Amino acid sequence: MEELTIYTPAGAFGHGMAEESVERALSRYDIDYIIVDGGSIDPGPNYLGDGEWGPENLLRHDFEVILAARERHDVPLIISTCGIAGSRAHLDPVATIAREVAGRLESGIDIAKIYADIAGEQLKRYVEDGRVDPAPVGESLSTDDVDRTERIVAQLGAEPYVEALDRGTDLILGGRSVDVAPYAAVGAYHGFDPGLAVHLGKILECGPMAADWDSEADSILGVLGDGYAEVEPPEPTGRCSTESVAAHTLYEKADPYTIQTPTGTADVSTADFTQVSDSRVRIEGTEYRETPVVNHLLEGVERVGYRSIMLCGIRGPEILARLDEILDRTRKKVTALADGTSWTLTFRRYGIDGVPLFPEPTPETVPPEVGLVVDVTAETRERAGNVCGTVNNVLRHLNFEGKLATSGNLAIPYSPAVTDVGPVYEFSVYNFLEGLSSRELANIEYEVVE
Amino acid sequence: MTTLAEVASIVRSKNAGPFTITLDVFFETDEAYRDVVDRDVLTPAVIADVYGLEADVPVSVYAVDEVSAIKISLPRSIPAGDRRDTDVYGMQQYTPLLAIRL
Repeated sequence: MEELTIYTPAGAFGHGMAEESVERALSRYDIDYIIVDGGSIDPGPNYLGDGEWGPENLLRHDFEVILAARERHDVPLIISTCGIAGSRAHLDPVATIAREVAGRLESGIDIAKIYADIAGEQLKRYVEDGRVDPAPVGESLSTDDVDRTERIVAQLGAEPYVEALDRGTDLILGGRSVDVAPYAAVGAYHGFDPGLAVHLGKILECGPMAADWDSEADSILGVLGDGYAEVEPPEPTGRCSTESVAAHTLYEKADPYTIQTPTGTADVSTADFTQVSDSRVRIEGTEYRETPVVNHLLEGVERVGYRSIMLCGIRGPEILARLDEILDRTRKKVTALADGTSWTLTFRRYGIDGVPLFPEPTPETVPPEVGLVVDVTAETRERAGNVCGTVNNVLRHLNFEGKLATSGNLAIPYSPAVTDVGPVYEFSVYNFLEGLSSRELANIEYEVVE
Repeated sequence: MTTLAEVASIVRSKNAGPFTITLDVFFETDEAYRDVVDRDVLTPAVIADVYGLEADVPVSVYAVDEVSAIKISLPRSIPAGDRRDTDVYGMQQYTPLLAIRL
């Protein structure tokens, strides 16, 4: 094979694919694989913890578009990190939708499911064998940490995908994987340079984000050749420029020069970007180094409690002028009434300082209106609801010097005021596991839909 | 006095994994980029100052000549999705950069 053409129809699976663009791309180009990413850990631990994988209607929409298109053009489809967090609990409901949609098409399909789950007992043995590294955060992992953990996945690399490709699978549904894993896999399977395959994968996996911001692109297309990779949007209105492609190489990465997989690192600092047509950019010179020890990042979460919130607004200038004091006194009263420290109370003050993660100077002027989210977490649902309700009752009628509105301090948009927003998770495992291959960590299951 | 916001075309923040925030600054002109790099405007110390970081917090600053952009990466003060998190994707944490004087 002289050139391998990969089509990525969207930056994320289940976000509502553009049907016309998909059909146009598959008709216009000789596409060998369709690859799309189905998840991420960037939104934090909750998705991995509570198993949320939807929205179901958009996943069904995307499967209806892409499975019909891939059948018409006979192109294999790979979706990695299915169902946002990519555990078995996330992948299986996605596979169910795929099965239902595929079952209504004319020809049957072969499906491979690549599970990335690591059993707690297995991980404890890895901990005892000294295979678990404190990196990247610097927290060492104990077997007690593992015991508190609800669900653990490994960020898999290319090997299990290569195995599924070798079986001639039509649809590969991957569990948690590094974003570039399926791109590295198709590159490796057809004998292309691993550095270019990984670099191309990094550019394609966000879909049209590598195109010029002022051009109209819904999707993205990549080509791997001997010593080069090329990228362009398939839409006639889309355009990639050397700037847009090179700039995208930086996106959502701490280090601009390297892209890591469990088995190696692509070094993009040596890469050259050339404009080869109005819309197409060529990449050459990306280098690749194999890692001395295979390394998989593990993600695991523990449930630390439940959360209840109350949303309210404040407009009275005499209240806002003394808001710090009012909230301090509310906290003290609630602490006395709700007895104890087994809960946390956060006042999120939108309009003042609700957004910064790092300390910023508080604005000196009093804003005309403040949105307040009362955020309570506690060990049980009931406790969180009770404490949040206590805050409501105390704050609503708290007296303070200069009070004008003896009727109350808060505009509350919802009744009931307090909402149970479910369990709260935190990371309990975020560590590298050394010395095992992705194939050893993955479980692959095959099925046929007639 | 000119601020970074006045010479930048894109200033953005985003998670790079749940424990790291990464900031990208692209410039209106290559000259503006060169000027900011040559005068060493965005040092780890300046970033630590505007973000109120303790001295031992590791801050990385990369000048990426190929795209005339500066990338800054620092550990999140609170991990993404943690109970105290205010910005799960880290999309709105770029504002302390805007007022940095050149």
